[in-house]
Amino acid sequence: MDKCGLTRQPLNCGARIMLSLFGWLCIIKLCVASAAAQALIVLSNEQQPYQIVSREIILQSEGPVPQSISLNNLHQKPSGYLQQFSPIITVGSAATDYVFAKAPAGSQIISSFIPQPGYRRLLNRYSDRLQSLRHTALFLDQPYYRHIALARAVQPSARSLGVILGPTTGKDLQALETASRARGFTLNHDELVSNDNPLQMLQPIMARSDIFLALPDQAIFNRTTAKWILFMSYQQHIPLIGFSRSYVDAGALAAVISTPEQIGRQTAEILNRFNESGALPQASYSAYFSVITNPQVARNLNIELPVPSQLEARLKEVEQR
Amino acid sequence: MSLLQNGFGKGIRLKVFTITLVPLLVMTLMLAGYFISTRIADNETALIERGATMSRLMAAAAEFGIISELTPQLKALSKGPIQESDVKDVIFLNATGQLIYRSTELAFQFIPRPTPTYNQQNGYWLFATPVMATGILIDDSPEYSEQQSPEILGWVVIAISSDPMRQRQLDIITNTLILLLIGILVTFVVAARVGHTLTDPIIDLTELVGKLQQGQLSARALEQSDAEIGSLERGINLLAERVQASNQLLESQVDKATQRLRKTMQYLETQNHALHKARERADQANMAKDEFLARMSHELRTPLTSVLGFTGLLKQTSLSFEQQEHCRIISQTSTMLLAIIDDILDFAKLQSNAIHLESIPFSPEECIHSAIEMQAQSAATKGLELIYQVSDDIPPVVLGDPMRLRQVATNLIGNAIKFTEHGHVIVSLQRLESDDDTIRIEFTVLDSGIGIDPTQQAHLFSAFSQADSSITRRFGGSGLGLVIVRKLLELMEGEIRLNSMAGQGTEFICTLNCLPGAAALKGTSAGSLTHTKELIIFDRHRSSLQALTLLADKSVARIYPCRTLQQLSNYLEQVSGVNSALMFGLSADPAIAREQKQHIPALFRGFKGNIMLLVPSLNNDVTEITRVQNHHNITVLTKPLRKINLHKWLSHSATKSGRSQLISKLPTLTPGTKVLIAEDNDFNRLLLTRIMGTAGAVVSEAINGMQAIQLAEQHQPDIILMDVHMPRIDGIEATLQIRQFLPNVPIIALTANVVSSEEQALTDAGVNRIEYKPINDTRLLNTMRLLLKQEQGSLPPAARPHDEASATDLSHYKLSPKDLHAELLRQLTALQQGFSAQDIHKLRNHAHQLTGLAGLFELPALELTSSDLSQAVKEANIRKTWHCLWRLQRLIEHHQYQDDAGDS
Repeated sequence: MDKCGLTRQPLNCGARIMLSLFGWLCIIKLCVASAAAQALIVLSNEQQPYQIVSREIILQSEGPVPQSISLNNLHQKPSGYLQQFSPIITVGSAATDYVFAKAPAGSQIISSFIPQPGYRRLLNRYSDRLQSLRHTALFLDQPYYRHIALARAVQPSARSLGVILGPTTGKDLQALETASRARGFTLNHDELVSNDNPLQMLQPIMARSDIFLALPDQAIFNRTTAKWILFMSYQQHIPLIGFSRSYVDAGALAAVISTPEQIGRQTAEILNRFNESGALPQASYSAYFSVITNPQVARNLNIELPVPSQLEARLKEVEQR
Repeated sequence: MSLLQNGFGKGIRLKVFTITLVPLLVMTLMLAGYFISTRIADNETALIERGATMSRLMAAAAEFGIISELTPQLKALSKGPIQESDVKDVIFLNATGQLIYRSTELAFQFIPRPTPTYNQQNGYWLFATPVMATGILIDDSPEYSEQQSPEILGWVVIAISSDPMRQRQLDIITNTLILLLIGILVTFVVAARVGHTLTDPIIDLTELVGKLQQGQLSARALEQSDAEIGSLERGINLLAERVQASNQLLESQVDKATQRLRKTMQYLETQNHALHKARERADQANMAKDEFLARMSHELRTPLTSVLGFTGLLKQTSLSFEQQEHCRIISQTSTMLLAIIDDILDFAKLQSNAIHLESIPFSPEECIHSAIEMQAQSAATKGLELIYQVSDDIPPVVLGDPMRLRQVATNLIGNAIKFTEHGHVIVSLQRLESDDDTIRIEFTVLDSGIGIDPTQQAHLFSAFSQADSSITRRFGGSGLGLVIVRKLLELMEGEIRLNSMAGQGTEFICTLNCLPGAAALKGTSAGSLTHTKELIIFDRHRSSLQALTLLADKSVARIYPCRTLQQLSNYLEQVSGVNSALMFGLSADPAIAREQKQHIPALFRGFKGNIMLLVPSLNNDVTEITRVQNHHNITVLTKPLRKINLHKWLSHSATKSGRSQLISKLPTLTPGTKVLIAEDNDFNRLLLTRIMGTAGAVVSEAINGMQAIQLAEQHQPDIILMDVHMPRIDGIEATLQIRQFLPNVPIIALTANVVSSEEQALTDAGVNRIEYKPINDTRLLNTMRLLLKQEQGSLPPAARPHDEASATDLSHYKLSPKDLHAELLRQLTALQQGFSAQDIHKLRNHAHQLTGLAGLFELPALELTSSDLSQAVKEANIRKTWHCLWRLQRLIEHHQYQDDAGDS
């Protein structure tokens, strides 16, 4: 499995701890020096992806070193704690949820590493409160055009693109169709209703499509069905474009993702811009991404697959146009 | 049936069948049961495992079919299992338990469970396994993570019919039971067969043993078996043969043994007869031996006594010094030979326990004294001081055997004198404490002789042993003396021990037990004070002086003991008066004695009181002293001094000599009184003659009754003294005849008998008075005076025999104890002659005479023995006669009769 060359090489564990310690030292030092302009990074939990995002933000930030705190630790803090930080960078949905609920009026909030559907749900939930807050977001997932561009890059000759929409993705049909058309695909789609059997629904769609695009919707793609969807794609020799590294590892042909480092890096850029201008950009997908491929699957499906860097370059090229 | 009838009832057959069949059956049944149950369980387990496996596999395979609910998928899947004959249905259910697909339609109920289950319903085994989602990870970020537990997608149920399984179980049971039955049958047959081969011979053998026990020894077993049973059959047959053979052998041996036993018994009977004869011969021989011993002792003694007698006679003739010396040697050696013979005889008797001690009253003091007196001469000859010390607590009379005690004393004192060259021999007698009623007396003989080496002391009491063989050569003797002494002392419940140191002397200490005597034999007043107030005792020898002082201690107010002549002379000057007395002990040492004798006249000259001159022996020539001194108050006595003599001497008036005073007291007859004495015993006759002569009578003597009659007729006596027992005509008959011509002459009968019939006979015959022996001269004379009317008065009542203690003092009638001894010897010789010649008459006569003599002179031991002899002669008991004779011989020849007659 090839890895994207744009991402930083993962550090070994010792080095990471050293770096983390170094980072914390900087934070403590800078807190004393200039507490007024300090950013707070709130992590949903202390799992590694969140840590990577936080570390990347701290490393890439140019102003005062942001302070990092996990959501659990934040619960211990007094209620006015968040007031002293600006902006508040939330990493993950849970942190965003909490900060949306607790942040004092006038706070600047950057929600990073959050799936776009989840952000939308939170916006709906805290629509009143958000009136008094300034906020932006950097989504974890990829825009549909980027997936479709990858599908095209992988199967330049394919005509129809199969997709099933679930409760989460159902309202994005329009965007999908637009992007498909833009990339020269005929979209074969169906939408899962509550009691439908996804596999039964999938079979005819897949049978009609040249390439199938899996979208992150747990009603369709979950631990149980994912295997059998892959099984069906194998059975029918239909290449499947996944949405995660794990799915590619499990048997999808390729996927485009933003790694935590890339998210962190872009979040730091947003922070830097905020520190410079005090402006928060619109919520957006990550500009940085990686393509992952499964050459074994490609061989089985008799597909000549370019190396991931070529695919990434092609995607960037498409996006720049 | 035959098994039941013959074998199962009891015995080995049943046991064999039991031990063969029961374990086998039990094991077979257990194994069969186990086998069946295991097989059935295995069958069921196999079915369950198969169903479960099938169900699990189906569940794994049906995941896609159940997720997708694509019936064709499931149908295709169920085609495999349903082809199995027993799989009746394959059912697929979705997560809600709703049926997705099933192969056939069977009615059953299914309750979904999250784990694999199986159960039975309507003859079907239902195996249900939940179909679990085996998902894959598709999310990189925790933002997409699903919190899902393993999801149950649905169930696969497989229905398997239990009929084939049951059929298989039935088959298993049937087959096993058939096999079991066949096995049991075969086992039974084999066990019966083997059991028979095993038990039949044993039963046969048992019967055979029974027959053998009943004695049918010809019975044999049929040798039909092999191996061990065969060996047993052969062995029992062999055993039976051997038993039969040995039985026959035994029978023949018993027959032979019986014959031999019979012969042996016959032989034994013969032998017994022979033994009986032999015993008779032995008895005769023993009797002959006794006789021989008696005769030999007599035969040896008779010539010896003759030798002694004639030597004595020879000595009295005028002999040259050389001849006198020869006579002395003859006398000495003969006496020694006599003693040795006696010793040997004594020893022989002691060895065969033939000596029995007597128990008669005697005075131990006098008994020992008499033994000392006998040895006094030899002690004096050797110049030895012979000292006798008696402690005051010695009882005057005890019960015992004086003869044997004297023998012991004689032996020990004789030994002491024999082995002592210089110094002294001290004999002492004292009483020891005793636990019981017996009187324990210690008798000690201490000498200053050659002593005995400690190594030789051990052998001293062995027979025929002397301390040194050189002693035998030097001193002579049989070597039996001490052995006899010890044996005699043991008989007296006593013992002997000695302390000795070579060159310094020897002390023999004897202890013996006596019974207390009933009363004193003689009333002595030795303990009371006499009229002698002061007594000077002179003796050069310390122990002797001590002994004399002790002796006189209680009788005199004051004693002056002195050991030197100078001291004596001083005392003599101080003490002089009629009530004082002097006791002068002449030294046993001849040289000193000579010196003392020279001083005596000067010493005695001025002394007014009584003087007692104690000489070692009467052989000492003291007449010169007494004559020259003309001392009428000098009494000469031998050492050691007798207590009674001392007392008598002290009691005498100082003015007259004891002898003249005593004689003057005797009653006299009118001078010229004619007395006829009829007495067969020479000594008695002599004594009576002397008494009568002294009393002033004219005596005529008759030696028997006949002669008495003749003499009475011839001499017409004034009075007749008639012995009752006389030969030819006895005193009664003689009295009767004399009474015919001398009706008024007083006749006094003299008898020792106490028979009342005899008394009556004498009175009837005309005897005026019966006087009992022993003769008391005063009493007799007084009686005579009364009968002769020479004195007025009435006759005292007739005295009973032995009720008067005063016998006649022989010395008054110039009859010395030697005369008595000679008479006794004569009687003894006559008795021995009578015994040798088997002359019972002579024996009886002399035994009677001896009894008379003994009675007359108060010699109880002698009297007892001689009356025993009379009895023995009367009974014609040769052995007893010999025994009594032997005792008499001992008594007389060794002067042992004198224990109580010493002072008479």
